[in-house]
Amino acid sequence: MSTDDSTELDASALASAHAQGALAACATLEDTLASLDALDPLLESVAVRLDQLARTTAERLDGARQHEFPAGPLCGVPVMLKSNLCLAGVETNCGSRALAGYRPPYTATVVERLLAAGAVPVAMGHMDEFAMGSSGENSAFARTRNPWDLARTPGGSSSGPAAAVAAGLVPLALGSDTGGSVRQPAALCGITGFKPTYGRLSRFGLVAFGSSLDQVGILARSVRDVELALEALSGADGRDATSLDEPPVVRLDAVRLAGLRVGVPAEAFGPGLDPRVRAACEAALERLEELGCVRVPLSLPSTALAIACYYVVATAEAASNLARYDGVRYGPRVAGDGTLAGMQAATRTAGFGPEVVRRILLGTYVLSRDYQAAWYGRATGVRAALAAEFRAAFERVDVLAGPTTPTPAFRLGEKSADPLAMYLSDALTVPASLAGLPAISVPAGFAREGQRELPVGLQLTGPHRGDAHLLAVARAFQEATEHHLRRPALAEQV
Amino acid sequence: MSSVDLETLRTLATLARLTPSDAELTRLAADLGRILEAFEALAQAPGPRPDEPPATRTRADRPVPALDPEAFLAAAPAHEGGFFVVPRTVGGET
Repeated sequence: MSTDDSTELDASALASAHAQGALAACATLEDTLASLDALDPLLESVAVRLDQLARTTAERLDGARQHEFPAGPLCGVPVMLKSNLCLAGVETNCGSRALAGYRPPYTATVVERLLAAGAVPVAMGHMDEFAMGSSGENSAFARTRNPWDLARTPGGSSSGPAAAVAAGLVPLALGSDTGGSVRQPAALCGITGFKPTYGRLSRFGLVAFGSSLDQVGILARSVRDVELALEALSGADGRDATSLDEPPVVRLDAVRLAGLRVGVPAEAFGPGLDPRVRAACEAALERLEELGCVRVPLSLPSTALAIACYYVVATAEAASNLARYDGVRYGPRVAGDGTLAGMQAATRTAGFGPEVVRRILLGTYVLSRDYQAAWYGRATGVRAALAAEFRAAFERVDVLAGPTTPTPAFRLGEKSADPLAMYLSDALTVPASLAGLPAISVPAGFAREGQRELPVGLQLTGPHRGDAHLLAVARAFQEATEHHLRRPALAEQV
Repeated sequence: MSSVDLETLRTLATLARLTPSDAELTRLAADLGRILEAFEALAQAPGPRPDEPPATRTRADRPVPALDPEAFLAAAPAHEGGFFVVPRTVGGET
């Protein structure tokens, strides 16, 4: 196999080629690093390069193959990590000045498992500060661009990892998804993005934003790569009390789509949906029907309140979680007036960007004595009602389907001055987050925008703990469609 | 329910240990007012329901290897003799 091909291969094909000795992990890595050199300046997806660690890892893998040690399931697969996943000794800055230069002394469980499976970490990816954002523009360090149109956002908050996978810089990346931060950028970048059931992947070593919502997610070019990674990364972890006490998810054989009940919530196709997104998702649903699925119209009424509910719960949890960044234990310190309280306030004010400040204050407000019952209390009520509606729906259907995002990728700067407009970008992804359900975005078609075409994502949601079946359904859809095979013409945009 | 006056916001900022400028406070008050106004439909929602039992579990009560405390201290802006160093809070000048 020619090494010229390695950046064209998906993770499954690469791992297989490395395991069989058809390709050396070191050769694949050099292709990847050359690709990062050539293309990342256009995209700004990389926060920290890990060339030395990657070369050492690849050399070790090739050496192990020469001695015929068994190859891991991700043998030699180059991966990018979102900058909120700890890797011991590597800067994990969460896109924030508050953690600039922070090198954690430990490694996240999912990253340990990734390394044990033979993956090669090549870079930390840019992200919205503390995962708060839907465009990547809230990063303190970069403005990552969408490879389908460099004037547009890749989505967020896993902006760097999504852009890098879409551009072919890496075949696989790990992100985090609190309200859609893996699925939304996957949809806007034309790749596959999976948020598992809450608790499926350990959160140990994932920097906390909204702890009842945060979940590690997987970004790849295909569902089969997501399944490969999920099998290697899932399984109980004693270091995360919310991790599901279950063995790793095992990939299912092909599922029969004939007779599969696909629920289509009316609210997912409500007003505000871009007509091009509507058309692409309708066509995807028709394709599922051609494959034998049965379309079941239904309603999830509480999703109308999902954005409000999410932004109350998530900001309340963020205000608590981010209290730890006070200049004592991590990151740069600003002396302020020299008192402890003054130092803490000066450090936090200098460290946090405008969106993080806005969310901390919103979270502090909804938790304050006079307003807690009216806001946080009611939001928890809506969250419980929404979860109950999902449970009732899954007594009637096997999966739910609808658009991942209301619009295709928007222009950088288009929504950055309007926080509410930005929050509404998450309208279709937050319901599954609030209910802790597994959900995946798969490419469903394209929207014409002038001379360009922008990807559209179809979101499939499964019942609690139904990850393996959901992925098998998504794989069956992908095997019957070709949207996920298209690549952006990045070089033509220069 | 939806407006946030500047004094309330100043108090919230103090509680959150933030010191935005007056101009930033004015902008934030407008932002939060608009966001909360858009979220007012929550007020029509039913009140809190009893939480479902948490899906958390406890690990076995036995010692496991842990990182050396020095490894954590190394990430701090200032540390000395196994402790984080902060500005003096009692007992006079720093």
